[in-house]
Amino acid sequence: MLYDIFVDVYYFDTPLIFLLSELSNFFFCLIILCVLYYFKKLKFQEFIFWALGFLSIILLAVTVVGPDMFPDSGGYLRCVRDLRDNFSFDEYACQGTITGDSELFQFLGFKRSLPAVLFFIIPIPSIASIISLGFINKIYLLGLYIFIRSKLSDDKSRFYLLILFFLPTLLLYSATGLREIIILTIQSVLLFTIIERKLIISTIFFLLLASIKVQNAAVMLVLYAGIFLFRSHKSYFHLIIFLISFLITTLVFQEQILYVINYFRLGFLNEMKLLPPGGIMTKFESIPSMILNSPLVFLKGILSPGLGLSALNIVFFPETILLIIWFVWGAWYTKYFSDSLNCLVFIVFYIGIVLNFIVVENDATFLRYRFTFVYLLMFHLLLMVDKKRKLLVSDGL
Amino acid sequence: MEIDYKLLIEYVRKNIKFIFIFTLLTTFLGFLSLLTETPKYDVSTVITANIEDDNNGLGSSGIVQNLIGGSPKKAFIYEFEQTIYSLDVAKRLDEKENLLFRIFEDFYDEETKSYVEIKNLNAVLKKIKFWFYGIEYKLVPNYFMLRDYLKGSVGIDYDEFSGLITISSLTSNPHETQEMIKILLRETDNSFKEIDKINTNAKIDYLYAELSKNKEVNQIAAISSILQSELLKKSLIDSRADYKFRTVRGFEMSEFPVYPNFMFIIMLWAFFGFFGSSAYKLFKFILNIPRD
Repeated sequence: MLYDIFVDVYYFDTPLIFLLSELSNFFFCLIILCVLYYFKKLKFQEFIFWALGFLSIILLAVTVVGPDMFPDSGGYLRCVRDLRDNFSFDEYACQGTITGDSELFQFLGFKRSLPAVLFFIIPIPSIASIISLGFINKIYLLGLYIFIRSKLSDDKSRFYLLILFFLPTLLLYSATGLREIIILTIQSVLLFTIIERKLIISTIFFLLLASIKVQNAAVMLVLYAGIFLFRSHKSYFHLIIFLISFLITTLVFQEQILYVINYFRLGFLNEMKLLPPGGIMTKFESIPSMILNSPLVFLKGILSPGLGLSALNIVFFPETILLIIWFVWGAWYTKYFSDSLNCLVFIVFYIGIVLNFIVVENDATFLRYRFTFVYLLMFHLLLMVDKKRKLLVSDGL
Repeated sequence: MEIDYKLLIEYVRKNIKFIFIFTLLTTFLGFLSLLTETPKYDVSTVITANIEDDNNGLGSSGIVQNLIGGSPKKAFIYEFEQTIYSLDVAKRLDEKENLLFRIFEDFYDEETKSYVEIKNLNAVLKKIKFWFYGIEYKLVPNYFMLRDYLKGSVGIDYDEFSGLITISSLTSNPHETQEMIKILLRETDNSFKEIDKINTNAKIDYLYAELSKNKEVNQIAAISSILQSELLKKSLIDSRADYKFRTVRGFEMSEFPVYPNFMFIIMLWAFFGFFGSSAYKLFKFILNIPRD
């Protein structure tokens, strides 16, 4: 992992060094793809798709992802460098931006260090530029693709999966040095291990997720508890018992839950400079009213920010519409809601969207937080579509 | 064809000569590229916030920062980063030091007394990017470009624990850059002063108006107390040379050129050659694998 100790990060203003650095990384990824193809883990079409995907990191860096677009990616880069040089790092010093957050709600406190360790274990040739970590993210995404692909038996479902991995949101976020792809990878593997009822491995992945992003882990806890404690996958009766227990628990701990939600909301409002005297802060004061309002919030969250954020939304909004149509078709095709487990997965998705929408004020940040839940649902839907196809094939239809 | 890792290793072993020669070749190219690079020196200074004397300025934002885990120092760093790269500072630098002209002198046409369009790769890419956002971007030097130039040439590094901010630049002309950073810091401080002055004056006017309206003794006393602190703040803005920050360590210049980093660039070229040739050979290999 090569970098210049005298220069913080290289960017396209030094095109030769930038291209040498990123093309070396690209060739490294190409070698991985060649090896995977050789060992029949990928088909040739998939090989080409992924090679283009790796190349897109450089193209996106030059055209769309500017050096200031995701300022916090620099923090992870510094952590990785510190880890490479000293085999340890100062967690606090690694933070590249001031987000005004606190360690108060950081479970285990590995928010930056664990992603840095996960970035570090993939030995790409160069970490000289701000987008170098994007290649590691893409490698993790490739790993996730192979993992999910192995669960699908139908060629068409595999093709849909490939398309899903090359939709604009995933293409954009996997081209940056952010931890979102690591979160998506862990969260997706967690989903699959939970629905396969692998308790120990699920617990490990749950702890990993909790140490990187406690908010997402809190949402995934619903699925974890629903399956392992209440066996909600068995029947709707089990699911209803679980939901009633869940509701009672949230009402009992209402004060604490609202405190955490309001705390995070305060943090995000502060980030957007929307706190008094410049802005207003409306606190959430009751869980039942939040639940009653949640369908509307969910719909807003799904469609937000519409076409309003920037020209980039000309790409993102149609993607949202496409995913909604895709989900509606998939749900109809597989009779998705006829199974209590699928309902529980959808509830997790619902809670994820609602919680993020009420807490996050910044549209771009919301998009960034939302996509991990959107893709989680789509991966699960594809699994169901694949099962249905397998069933139809075995029935000779 | 049988899949065997030994076959793959054997193939790589057979082509190791090609990979080695290609790597040597690119390393040599790297060496040649180093000869064309202009040596650059590191110029830096260290500053910190005038927090202890500025309790008046922290106000409610300081409370909010503390509430959600930040500190006044942290808040200042954020404020500083936003201000030093602001359009206001870029404009001030141009108005006082004619910086736009000094930086983009080559693009000034004496005949038409205006700037000509910049035609380099960066400018074209920027035009494409703005087109993507639906904005028609003119490639003539402007304050945005000046700001980008400052962002690109002057770096800020901060230590959140100590609150020390290092301002540095890699430059082939260290003395001129040192002067530019000095002016940049001065104008950043002036920008802080101007904003605070406007805010403080508005508060003072409001408090005077409130004072004349109120007749109750307790309220008059309370307003007078706030007014006093605002007047004190106003006098601080007017009288202090270093208003928001002070220099901890003056300017220093590196003893030797830190760019180009000889080892880094040679290694980068070598890596490029090694991974490029390896990928090429492996790709050629997998293309010849017969598949069902």
